[in-house]
Amino acid sequence: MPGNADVDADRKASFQREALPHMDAVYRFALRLSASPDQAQDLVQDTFLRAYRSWDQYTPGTQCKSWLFTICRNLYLRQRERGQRHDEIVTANAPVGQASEGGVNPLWSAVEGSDPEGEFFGSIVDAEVLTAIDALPEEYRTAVVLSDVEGMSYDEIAAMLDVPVGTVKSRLFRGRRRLQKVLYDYAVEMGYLAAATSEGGVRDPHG
Amino acid sequence: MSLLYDYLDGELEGVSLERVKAHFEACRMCYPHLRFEEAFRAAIQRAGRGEKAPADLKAHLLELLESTSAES
Repeated sequence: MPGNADVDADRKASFQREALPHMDAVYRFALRLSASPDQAQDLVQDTFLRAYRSWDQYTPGTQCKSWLFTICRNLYLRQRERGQRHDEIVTANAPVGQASEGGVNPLWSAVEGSDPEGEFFGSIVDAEVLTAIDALPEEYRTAVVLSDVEGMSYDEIAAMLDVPVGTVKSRLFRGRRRLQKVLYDYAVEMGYLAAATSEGGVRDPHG
Repeated sequence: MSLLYDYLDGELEGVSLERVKAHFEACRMCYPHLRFEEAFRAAIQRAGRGEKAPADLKAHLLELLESTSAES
């Protein structure tokens, strides 16, 4: 049909301009979802092919990265549904102990005497931080990645996950607390940080 | 605590942002707590943003897109 070639060229150009620059972001999001470089590559490929086919459904000027992440996550969830049980979801809903959503961060109280500004976080190598993120239940992991890595707002995350803003905040709270605990334990184990005693904090003997 | 995260997550604006910010920066309890959460955030962000899509994946995808036509 006449004109189709022009339409295709325009589409291709706008897709390359708006969607493709997010490839690194989609890749690292896919990596966090799947925890497997091979699966992440497949997810990225499927995400962009699907996005390209439905490019007409994307509203120009809206958050293209969120739109791509949504496609990527839906593909991942569908694959996971086919592949395994919902054991991760069960874990996510299990009680997490003392984490009530108010008051002072108990972990901060533990380092108050030795490292109140959390410098130990900066001593932990990236690979170890990523391992800790990947060990979180999927619901917490996704919220933490979208907020803390990608800088998305509560509203954007809520829209993407199709949950209320309060749920996003709760998942972020719980996810961050778990992650902080894992990183703290690692830092103590590695000697970056002296373990707190019942007396309060312990001074770093090297500092 | 919830305010602290709202603040760090950039969810406050206007008068409440100014008031909360002024408090966190002046309060002896809150300030290190804020720095602690910021240090945590910085570590997560640095690690999370460190990975790039492999070059061959990018090249492969570009090729695929060239040969794919939309909404057939």
